Amino acid sequence: MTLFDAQVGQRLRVVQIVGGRGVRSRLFSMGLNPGDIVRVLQIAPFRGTFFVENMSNGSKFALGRGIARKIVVEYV
Amino acid sequence: MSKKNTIVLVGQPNCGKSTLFNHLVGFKSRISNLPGTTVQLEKGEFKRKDRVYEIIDLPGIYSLTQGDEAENKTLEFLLNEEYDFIVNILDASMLSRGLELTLQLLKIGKPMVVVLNMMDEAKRKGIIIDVKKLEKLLKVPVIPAIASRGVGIKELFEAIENFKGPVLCFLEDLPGNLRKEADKLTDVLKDCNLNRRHCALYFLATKILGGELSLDTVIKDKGCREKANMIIKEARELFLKEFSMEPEDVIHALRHHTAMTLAEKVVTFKRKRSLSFLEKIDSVVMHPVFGYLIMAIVYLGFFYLTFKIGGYLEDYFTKPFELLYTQKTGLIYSLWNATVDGLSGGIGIVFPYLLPLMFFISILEDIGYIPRAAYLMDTLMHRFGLHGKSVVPLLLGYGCNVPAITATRIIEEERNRVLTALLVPFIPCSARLTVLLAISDKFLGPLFAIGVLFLNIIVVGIVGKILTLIKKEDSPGIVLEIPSYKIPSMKITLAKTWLHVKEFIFVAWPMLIAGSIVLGLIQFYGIEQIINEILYPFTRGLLGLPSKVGVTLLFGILRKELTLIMLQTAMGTPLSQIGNVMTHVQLATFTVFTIFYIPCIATLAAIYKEFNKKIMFYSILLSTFVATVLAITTRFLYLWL
Repeated sequence: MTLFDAQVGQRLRVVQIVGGRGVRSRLFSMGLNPGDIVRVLQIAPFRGTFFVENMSNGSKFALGRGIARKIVVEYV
Repeated sequence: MSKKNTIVLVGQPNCGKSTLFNHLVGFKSRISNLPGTTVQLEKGEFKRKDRVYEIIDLPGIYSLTQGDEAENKTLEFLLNEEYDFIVNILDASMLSRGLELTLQLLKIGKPMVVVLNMMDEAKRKGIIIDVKKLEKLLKVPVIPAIASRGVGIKELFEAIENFKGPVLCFLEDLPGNLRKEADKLTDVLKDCNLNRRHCALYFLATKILGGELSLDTVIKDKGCREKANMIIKEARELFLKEFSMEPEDVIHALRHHTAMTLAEKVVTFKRKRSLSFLEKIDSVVMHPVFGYLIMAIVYLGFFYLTFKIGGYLEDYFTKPFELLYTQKTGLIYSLWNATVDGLSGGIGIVFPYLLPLMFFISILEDIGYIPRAAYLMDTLMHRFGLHGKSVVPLLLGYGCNVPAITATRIIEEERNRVLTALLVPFIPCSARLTVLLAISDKFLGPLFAIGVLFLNIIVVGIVGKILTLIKKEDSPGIVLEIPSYKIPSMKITLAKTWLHVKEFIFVAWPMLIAGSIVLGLIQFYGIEQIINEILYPFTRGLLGLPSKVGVTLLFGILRKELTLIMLQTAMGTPLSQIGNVMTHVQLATFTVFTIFYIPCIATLAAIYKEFNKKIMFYSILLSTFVATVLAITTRFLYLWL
């Protein structure tokens, strides 16, 4: 599954990030790495943007839906 | 004269880099662009004892990788420009991530000091850092600091002054085979006469092997490039064979691992305290329903206060200028009155609104609300092909377009920045709102005003959609860090406000004064007649307006606040009587055209300064075209209704 399919509040582990070099290296350097535990905090209405917390280091991100689809996760 | 030391501040976004900068330089900072780009950097001087330091605040970057423009230029700056010291600022509460950048910076081979900022925040999160141990591991001075309160600044400069070196370079722990490839590439780079220390060359080599830096940016010579490319190909095969991963992923994973290990060695976790009030607040502020309510209240309050304070200040600021006008006739006196017009236009009309506007936006920025508003608006803006961050300049535009153009700086992607800047002039600023409100109030009724404002939002949406279709992007969506809330510091907020206001004073205001003088000359020599004749086919023919409004429309470009005054002069009647010389259809057409056509000259100057001539002309053409189409539509629609 990807982060896109996640429910608000679930704890998930990042397995890998797929997609182009740009997106991958951007997410990596912003501190979202395979192995991190993440949680969707909110999803904006009308099929909107994801608000995600990386519980491994406490950083928070707004991620577009296209980006969320590129983050492969598994249940913890 | 004592030697001037140049210090560059480097750090990840939201690490408190700008806070430290503002603390050091305060009101004396100046903005300049990196050569040939729109990437902004702030500079300023800091004096301590008998030494003068030139402080350069580079854009916040997550990694020394080629990526967006800010990253590319920062990388180029750090490798090619002259400077003495790197001060690397880290958010202590996110040590491991910050160290990934630190590890890269250490390879540049320049004297460096690490500042562990936000120690208070880290402590609150239950993170205790052994600073001495980190210092030993990194082999550079590490200074704990709380930049917002100025804690650690003295120690930072003591560390800089006492820095003895040696400047070590921290080589990446590449696995054996790859280390050999990196050494080989380093030798090639050395043969290519790249005039750099071994350490920096090795750094470049690993960057190139890792796909984080393109070869073309480093080597211009073709023969050299071929040699280097062979090694890169060889290394790539090795990477894939040994790790079955792309080189950049391997390099990144190694760096991530090194940083994590370093952080684990120096950090001890205390039992985390329960969620603070500030952390809980996000479940409301970012809520799918309450979040939007709060945003509406924040922005309405923001505008209400801006106009309230602005209106109050305006009375006080404009009064003295009324005394300066002279009743005498003659060229000199006309020019004098025109100059006073320009001066009071700046001080009395724009300044009172700009000051509170910039003050509030600085506060919203410092608290950390802006990225949250961007998240909330992202879904809608995404439908227009833009990101949530574009909302900020657009909302600011209702106050004054000039700071709105400046505010497009918060958007990193050049494409989105340009598109947003092209949309900003469509937002009616306070001067144009005045025209709309005054004419609606006297002749056309409040429904007309509300209708035009509503139409305006729709037009911005449609134009945005069309522009984004013309200039497509392939990015799959927003990636934006939402920083933790911060308590703003008054000193820093004021310094930021002043920086923006200073831009207005030196860029837009002179244009305003020049515009007034040109207008004064035209009136004095009675050139209006000729201009009206030339514009006749457009004003009369296309829009069905009295030909006398030609000058008003043309010179409205110089000063949109003067549109109403000029209209009265042109028509030779006070505003209340204008209904007798212009029909309601004409008034409606005039108003719609005024709202949408060419932004004022100060806005154009801002676009020119922030972007270039081409974008400025696009803006003129686009807004005139849209305004004409809408005005013609109004002309016929109004008759039909």
